[in-house]
Amino acid sequence: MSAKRPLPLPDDQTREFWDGCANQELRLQCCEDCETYIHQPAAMCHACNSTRLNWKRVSGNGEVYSWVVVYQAPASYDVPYVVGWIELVEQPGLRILSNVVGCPPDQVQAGMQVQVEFEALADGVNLPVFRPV
Amino acid sequence: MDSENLARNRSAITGVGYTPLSRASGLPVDALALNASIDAIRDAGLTPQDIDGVVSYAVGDSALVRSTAQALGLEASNWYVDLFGGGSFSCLAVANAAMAVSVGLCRHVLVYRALNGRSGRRFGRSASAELEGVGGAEQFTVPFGQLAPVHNYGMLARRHMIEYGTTTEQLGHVAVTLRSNAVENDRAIMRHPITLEDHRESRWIADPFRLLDCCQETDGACALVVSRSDIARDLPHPPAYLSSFAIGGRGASALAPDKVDDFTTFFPAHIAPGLFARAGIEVGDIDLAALYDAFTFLVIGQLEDFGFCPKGEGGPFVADGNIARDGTIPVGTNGGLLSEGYVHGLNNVLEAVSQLRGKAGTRQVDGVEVALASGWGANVGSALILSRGA
Ligand SMILES: [Zn+2]
Repeated sequence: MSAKRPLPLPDDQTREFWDGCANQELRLQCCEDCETYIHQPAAMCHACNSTRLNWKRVSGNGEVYSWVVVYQAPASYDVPYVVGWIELVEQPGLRILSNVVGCPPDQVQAGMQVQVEFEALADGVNLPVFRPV
Repeated sequence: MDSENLARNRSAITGVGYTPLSRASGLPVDALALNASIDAIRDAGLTPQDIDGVVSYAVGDSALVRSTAQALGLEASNWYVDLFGGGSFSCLAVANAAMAVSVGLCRHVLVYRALNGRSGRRFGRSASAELEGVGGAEQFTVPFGQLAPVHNYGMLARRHMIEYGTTTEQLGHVAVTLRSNAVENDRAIMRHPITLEDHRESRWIADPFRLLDCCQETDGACALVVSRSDIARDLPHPPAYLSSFAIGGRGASALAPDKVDDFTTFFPAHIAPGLFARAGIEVGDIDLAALYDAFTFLVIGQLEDFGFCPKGEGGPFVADGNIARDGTIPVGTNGGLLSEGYVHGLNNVLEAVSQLRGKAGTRQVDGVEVALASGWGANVGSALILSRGA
C-alpha cells in the first residue's frame, strides 16, 4: 500500500505496541495480576480491574475471525484490501484489527490460520499485518 | 420496583416536521433546522413561544441549539441540550426531551436533527484518512484502512454469516422490502422499485455490503415536539405517548475487539428487557418497528436481539416476508434510512409517529397501537416504545 496513509501517533499508553512493531515484534499489554492480554491498550484490566499492567511479546499466530473486503477508499489505500479481526492463539477472544495480506481477497476464510509480519508504513513505523500460513 | 417507570406515558410526541430530503439542499444547516422546527411546531398546533426546551444531536455538522432557539425567538426556554453523537442518539434525543417534560421542567420540548450529509460532511468518508497521523483509538484502525461505519458493521455482518449462515441475498430482502415502502412515500429520496437481482448486481462498497445495503447520504432536517401528556390531549393530533426509553448496551466494536465474548450479540439484547418491562409490554405487543437501518444487516441483528425472532434466524425471517407492511412486524415503512433518507435516524422516529396517528397514507399499517423505534452507533443503541393509548 501507499505510504501516504496516516501514521499512528503513539501515546504513553500505546508506545510499547508500536516500538515492538518497529522491532518486528508483536507486543501486547498484559495484566500483572491475572495475566489477561489486553488490546487495544487500556488503563485497566477488563478481566480483574487491576491497573498493574505490563507488556509481553506474543507469538503472532492466530486465525481470521471476521473481515470485510474494502472496494472504496481514499487514494492512499490500494483497493481492494482486506481488513478484519484476527483472533490470536494466546487467549480466547484476544482480537486485533489488521489486514490480511498475501492472499486474494476472495480466498479469505473464517478460521484461516495466519501469522504476523510487518509492513513498513514509513521510516521506523511498521504495521503488524497477517499472512496465511 | 425494577420496572417502575416514573416517566411512563407522562410525555408524548405531538408534532412532526420535515424539510425536503435531497442530495443538495442549497441551504445552510441552520436554515434546515429552523424550517423543520417550524414545521413540527405548527403540526403540534403550537407557536414557537410555547416551546420551553430544545434538544438536538450532531457530530459537529449541525445547527447548535442556542442558534435555533434564538432564530425561533424562544423566550422561556430552560432546557437546551446539544448532544454530541450519531446514530445511537436518535432515540436518546427524544428520551432526553421526555425526561425534561416528565419531571415538570418543560411543557413542550423541540427535538431536531439537521445535516447536509451529502453536499456537506459525508459520513461514508473518513476525514481521518486524509490526515498525516492519527492518535487515540484511531491509531489502531485508520492505518489499516478501517475507515467508516460500513467497515465495522460489515465485519459484524460477516461474523453473523459465519456463525448462522446468513446470506447476502437475505440482506437483499431487507433492501428490496424497504424500497417497496419508499415507493409509497413521496418524501423518499429513492422511490424506484428494486429487485433482488438489482441488489445482487450493485457494486461492492465493502464486501459483504453492496451499494444497496447502504443508506442514502442525505441533506435535510427532521424535528418533533415532545409535550406533557395532559396538554398533549388537547392538541390537534392523537398523541404518540412515550411509554419507555433506553440507551445502552455493549457489543462488538472496532475499538474494543477483545473486550466482548462475541460479535453477534448487539445492543438490544442488553436494553430490550428493561425497555419492554418499563412500558408494560412484551415483544409480541409491538405492531411496528422503526429500526435504525444505516445498513441492511442492522435490521436482521436488531430483529433477533429485540426478540422478534430467535437468535440466528433473522436472515430467513426477513426473506419470509415478516418485515413487509403486511408481515408479522413491519420495519422501515417509510423506506427507512436505506431509501427514505439518512437524517441520522430521527426520520424513522417520525415515521413511527405517523403510523401511530394512522396518517401514513398508502403505506399505513393497520391498527398500530405500539411502535418501537431505535438508533444504533458503534456498540451502543437507543430505543423508544411509543403508544397510541396512555
Ligand atoms: Zn487482570
